[in-house]
Amino acid sequence: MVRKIVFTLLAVVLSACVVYGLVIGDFWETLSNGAMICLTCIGVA
Amino acid sequence: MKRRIIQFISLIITNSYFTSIPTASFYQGTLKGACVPILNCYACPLAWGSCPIGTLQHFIIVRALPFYLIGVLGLVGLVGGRWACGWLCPFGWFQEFVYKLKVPKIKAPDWLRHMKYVILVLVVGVVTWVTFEPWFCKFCPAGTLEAGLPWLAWAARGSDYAEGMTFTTGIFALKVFMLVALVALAAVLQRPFCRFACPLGALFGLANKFSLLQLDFDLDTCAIAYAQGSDFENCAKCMHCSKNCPMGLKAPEQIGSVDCIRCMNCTSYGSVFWRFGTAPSRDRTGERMIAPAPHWGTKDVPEAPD
Repeated sequence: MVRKIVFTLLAVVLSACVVYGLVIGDFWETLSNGAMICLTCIGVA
Repeated sequence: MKRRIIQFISLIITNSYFTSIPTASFYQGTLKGACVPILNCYACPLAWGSCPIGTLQHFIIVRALPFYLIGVLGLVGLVGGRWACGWLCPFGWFQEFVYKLKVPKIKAPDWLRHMKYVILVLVVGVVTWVTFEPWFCKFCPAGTLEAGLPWLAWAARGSDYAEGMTFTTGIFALKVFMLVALVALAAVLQRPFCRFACPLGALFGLANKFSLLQLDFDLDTCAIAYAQGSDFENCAKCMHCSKNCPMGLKAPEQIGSVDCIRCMNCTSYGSVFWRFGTAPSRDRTGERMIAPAPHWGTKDVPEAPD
C-alpha cells in the first residue's frame, strides 16, 4: 500500500513537472537548443 | 528477435528526416523541442527530437531548472527504469552489433560501472556549470557517429548548412579517436558505453528499484534446474541466465541492479520473469521473495522428471 501511495505521488509530481515545464516555456527553450547545430559541440568550430 | 525489431522501429521513428539526405540539410522544426528518452544526438541530420543530456546541459548553461525534462525522464524511468536503454536506444543497439564480431572477448573490472555517475556529476553537471560549455557533447561518441561524421559528409557535398565548419580541429580529431576507441572496445566488451559512461543510463538506472517494470526470480520454473534435476547444483555454477546479459550482470542475484537494462535476455530459461506493478518482489506463486543470493538453488532442487 505504501509503495502504491509513494508511486502515485511520484507520478503526480512528475506529471506536474511536465505540465509546468511546458507552461513556462521549457519546450521552446529545448527547441532553441535543438533546432540549431552547436558547432563547438560537434567539434567543428 | 522481438527486441531487434523494436530497436529498429525506434531508430526509424527517432531518425527518419530523410529529406535531409538529398538536400544535405537537417531538421529544424517544432518536434526538436521534444526530448527523446534515449541518447540520440539532436545535431544528427535525420533526428526529429532532442537529446536529453544535451538539453540538460543547455539548461545548466542558461541556469534554469528543466522541469519538462525532469518530468519526461522521471515518468519514463518510473514506468520501465532502464528499459529504454535496452529496447529503444540506437547507440546501445549499435554496440550490440559491434560485439557480434568474431574477436576474442574480455571482461572489465566491476568498479568501472561507477564511472558513469562520475561523468554525470562532474562532466555533465559541474564542468558544464563552471565553463558554460556542454563538455559531454563535445566528446560524446554517439554524437560523433550520429552527427559529427554525417556533417563531415554534408560538408564534403558542399551543404550550405555546413558553411563555416572546420573538420581539422583538435576536438573533432579527439571525438573521432574516442569513437574509434569505443568501437574497438565494443567489439571485445558488451555495451561498454552503456555500462561505464552513459549519463542517461545512470539517471534511468536510479529508477530501476521502484519502476513499474520489475524482474523477479523463481527457481521452481527454471528450465535448466528442471532438466538437470538432482544434478543441478546452484545458480552461481549454472549461469545460463547471465550468459546473454548485455550488461555483464549475474542473474538472478543482480536482476534488480541499477545497471539492468530490462532487455529480458535472462528470461529465456524460465527462472527470471518480468512483472508490472508496485507490489514487492514475489515468485510466480505470489509468495513474497527475498533478494536472490549467489547460492540460490542449493536447496529445494526440483525433482528430475521421470
